[in-house]
Amino acid sequence: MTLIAPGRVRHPATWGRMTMSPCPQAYFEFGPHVGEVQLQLHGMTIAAVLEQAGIALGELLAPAAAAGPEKVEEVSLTAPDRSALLVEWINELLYLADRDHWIPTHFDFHDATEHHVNASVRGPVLAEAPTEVKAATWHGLRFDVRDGAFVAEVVLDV
Amino acid sequence: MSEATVATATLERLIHDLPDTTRAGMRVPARVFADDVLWEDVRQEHALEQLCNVATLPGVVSRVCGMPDIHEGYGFPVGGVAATRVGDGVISPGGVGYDINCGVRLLTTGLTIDAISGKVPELVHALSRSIPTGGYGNTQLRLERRAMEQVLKEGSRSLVAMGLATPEDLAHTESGGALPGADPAAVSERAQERGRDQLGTMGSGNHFVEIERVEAVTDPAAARAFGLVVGGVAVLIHTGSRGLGHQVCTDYVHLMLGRLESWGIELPDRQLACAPLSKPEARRYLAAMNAAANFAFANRQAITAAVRDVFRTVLGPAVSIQVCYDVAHNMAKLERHGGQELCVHRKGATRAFGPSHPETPAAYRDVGQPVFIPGSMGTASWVLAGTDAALDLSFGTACHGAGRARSRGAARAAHTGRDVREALVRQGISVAGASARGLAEEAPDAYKDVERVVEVVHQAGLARKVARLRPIGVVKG
Repeated sequence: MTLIAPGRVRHPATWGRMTMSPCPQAYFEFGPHVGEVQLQLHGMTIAAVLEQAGIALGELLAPAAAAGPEKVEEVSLTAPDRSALLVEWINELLYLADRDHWIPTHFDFHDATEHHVNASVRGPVLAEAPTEVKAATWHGLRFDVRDGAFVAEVVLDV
Repeated sequence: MSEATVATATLERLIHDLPDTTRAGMRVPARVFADDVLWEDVRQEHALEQLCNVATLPGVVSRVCGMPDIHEGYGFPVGGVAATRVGDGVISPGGVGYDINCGVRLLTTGLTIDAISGKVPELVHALSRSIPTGGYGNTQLRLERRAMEQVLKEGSRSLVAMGLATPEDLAHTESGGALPGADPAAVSERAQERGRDQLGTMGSGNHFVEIERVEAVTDPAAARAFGLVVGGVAVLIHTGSRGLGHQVCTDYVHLMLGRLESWGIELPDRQLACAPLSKPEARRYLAAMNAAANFAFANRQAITAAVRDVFRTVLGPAVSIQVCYDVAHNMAKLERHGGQELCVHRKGATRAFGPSHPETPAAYRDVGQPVFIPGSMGTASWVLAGTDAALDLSFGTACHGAGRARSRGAARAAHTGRDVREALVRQGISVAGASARGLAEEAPDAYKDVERVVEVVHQAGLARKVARLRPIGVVKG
């Protein structure tokens, strides 16, 4: 059973400026993990999958519409493979969110390859966030190509 | 029930063994403590596969254990216990988890339920205002560099000079609230940044501060030693090392993943990333993990200080709140078992030492250390006492909670936060602090039946039932 988050299917064209080609097939779902939260991420490009991970994270951290002064963070990461890149990406956003009391909501990818991502991430700084996400884990981690599209699964410790 | 009366037949009924041939690469067998109903549940999900994966770790000894609340985690299952030889074994940050030294502390108040009649909503409201919940920090208690280093080195002890802890509190905290060998230099700048304003904060998820009524006592002698009487009021605190601990785990899993090949270690799950205990990387992780654990002890101690302030403000300055005990349930500790020095990983599992163990606090040498098994928001929690028999059964370990039975998504599909809040209010439980989503995800039926879980712990001799607590006020993270 997979639970699709109601109202959570999002299209990058309506969420932030994309410098890469738009991916209308991009969306995320919550998987059926008992103890934690499993994200299932779909996109035509690596950037689209990373963006969906960021949007899902923002939704988890602050489910209600978040309002506060905007802050932009520059994120540049390298990793041995694209699944490792996904974990590093989420954990970098979590670190920045914790440090600056900030919610990532809008993503502008300058570059995203199998081993590298370079992006500007924008979002509000909040006085408080209702929910905490501890980390992206390596358990059950997948970032595959299926029917010409990227599909990733990652378990978050919440 | 005395330890001697744990009948072999009973024990056999509650033990489910998986031989070391269950999957390729297992070095030891696996054992789960469960009755038939819990066993059927656990067989439906991935926890057993995860437990068998843990049994492949280099240097693992005897058997890996699943507690009665075992459920799917990441790498290790939640409710998983594994011990590795210090000589040729490994330490796995994934076997501790991201919330290093997540744990539970019980406070006794000396108050009766009648004395706080009509005051519970006010207490809950005041607690929710005094103890930050959710994802961020505590602007009232920001740790600059030197103060942070002191907390990392000395844990709860560092709060004595600030008036936030007493020597009696330390005596009633696992390891005195300060693990030796903690080294702030092993904790990254990032981790320290994340923790800088998080002392005295609860976090979210299943973390809470609850006001409890002691509903029943099943072991009067132990209850007396723990300061629990029927009709008494207690406070249960559940939280951990917050963003600081999360970053320590993130940092060291990353580090160890990059070295596995050079150490010749192959793993069935990358989250089991580990380092040979003989390597500097392992020693550095232990130093960082102990520092994060000290931060967690100090965190629960700072929350204790906030609880004291709130109770005295609402009920008067004569209120005297004592720490019954504080136990970790996400830790790796170097301990001696059967004449060997072992690194015992407890992931979502609580140390449960008996009367004769030297680390049992002096006040509890006649009965065993207190063990806490919280239920969910609307159900009972239990206080138990550790047994000497548990050393042989489970490396001196019992379970840490009821254990999740359904995913957060399934819980949200079954309930709204409003439904859950109204149901709790109908039970006479005041609730504050949680988001609607958080309440729905933590709905009581998202968890296993705590009575069943506790009964298995008791019958198997992992720990002995002492008292049942019933929540009357909940501040949810």
